[in-house]
Amino acid sequence: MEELSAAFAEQNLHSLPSSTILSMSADERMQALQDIHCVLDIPEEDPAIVETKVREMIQKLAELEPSRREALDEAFRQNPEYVERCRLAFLRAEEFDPEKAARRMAAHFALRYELFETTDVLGRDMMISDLSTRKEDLPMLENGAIQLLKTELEDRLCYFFPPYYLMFRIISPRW
Amino acid sequence: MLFFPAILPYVPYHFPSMVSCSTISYGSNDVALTDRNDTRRHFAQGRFLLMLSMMVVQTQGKEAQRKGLVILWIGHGASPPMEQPSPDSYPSRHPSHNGRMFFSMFEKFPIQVRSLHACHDDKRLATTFDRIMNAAVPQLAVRFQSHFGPLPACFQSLRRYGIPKDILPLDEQGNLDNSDFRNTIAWYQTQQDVISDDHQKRPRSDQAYIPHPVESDILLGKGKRGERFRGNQLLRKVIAENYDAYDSGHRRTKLAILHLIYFHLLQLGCRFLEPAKLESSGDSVQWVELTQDEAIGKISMGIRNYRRKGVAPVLLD
Repeated sequence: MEELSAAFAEQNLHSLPSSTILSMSADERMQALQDIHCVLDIPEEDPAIVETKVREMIQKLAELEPSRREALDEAFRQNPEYVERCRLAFLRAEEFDPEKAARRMAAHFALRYELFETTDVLGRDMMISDLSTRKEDLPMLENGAIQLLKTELEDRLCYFFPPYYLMFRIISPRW
Repeated sequence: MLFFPAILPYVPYHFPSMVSCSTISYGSNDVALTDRNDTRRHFAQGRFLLMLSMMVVQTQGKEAQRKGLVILWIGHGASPPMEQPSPDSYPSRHPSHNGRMFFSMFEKFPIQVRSLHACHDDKRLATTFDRIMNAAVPQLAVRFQSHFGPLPACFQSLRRYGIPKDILPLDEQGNLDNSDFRNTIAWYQTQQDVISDDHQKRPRSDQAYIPHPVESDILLGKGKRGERFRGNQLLRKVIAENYDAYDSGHRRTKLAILHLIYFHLLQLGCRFLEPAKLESSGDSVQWVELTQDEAIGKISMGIRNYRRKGVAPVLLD
């Protein structure tokens, strides 16, 4: 804190990051780099471990409070295979933590119901036609306010970064 | 949690499209920052963001799933109104509103949102974002980085985080290029049509063969293999009970009854199985589960047999 105050007092803000980084351990520094630059240390997926994690996730899903998994249960009732197929994506999103993945999955289906206000989209993938039938969603498909961008993987700068960027911007009269 | 109400007055009126909907408690000020149109727009944006995240999951494979998404927010040119909306324009509180999108929404995506970069040229936002970065980030699962300045400066700043200007569909004057985006949407529409058709045609679990059906399963196909199965007996009972309503109903009623029977049996733990057509299975029979449409077709066939024979069939061959 004293260092920070001194730096602020001297308006020497450029020294702050370097002094903070130098005071970190190697692990902390690596973590900070990952945080800032999204440099990901992703382990390879072992099929045996994946299978175990899927089983654990099923167990964790069963242990969730019924009120939290209402939408998920409805999806399962409509199309069990679809729900089974989705599990792995949620495990990957939570770096194979079964409990977090179960919570994320239940919350995801609840969000789908919340946003679309119908159970029709629970047992299947969302389709573009689900949006194109809504008046307020049509501009999204046309004005490019929210876009999915693909990075160039061969670009050295991007190599370690997640390959997909979403970009969205506020539509204003100037644009 | 407590710092937010203090800084909310500095958040422009329309800016809550990104931050107003979150798990952070806004106190009573949040309603003043949105109006009914904003709420509708938030939902539309939420649906679209959710669909795009699904698009990455469905089409880009496990590497993209493991690496996650980075979200950029470009706020240039969005000149915020200085005045607050009148109390008359306050929205009715939608149960799912009150700050439940963006930041909290990212935690519900089927793919991890690694970070959020916000670019803007509004000094008031700079203060707000600095506070979010310094105080809110530990409470959010998503990393947040603010980039302040005119667009060229923000492009430069983004580049330091590995986001090159080339991938952005914007030039330095802020003109937007939609062509790639439209092509992507058109391509995704085609993909969905293919996936949808394919899904209707293939069995529910085309690789998951079931060697040993359990008592609650419904076995289809020729012969009397299913007689002793409780699932087959249940199906026979349900068909007999619903036959009169089915027979006297209109086409839509009939379809509804078929679906009701199907979901009723599904809820009781029944699976509709038929023998798999395998070349090298030998004497052992492998079973495969039917899709919803196929199973409903079989129930319909069972009802027709009941009409013809007067007895609900144990098997639906």
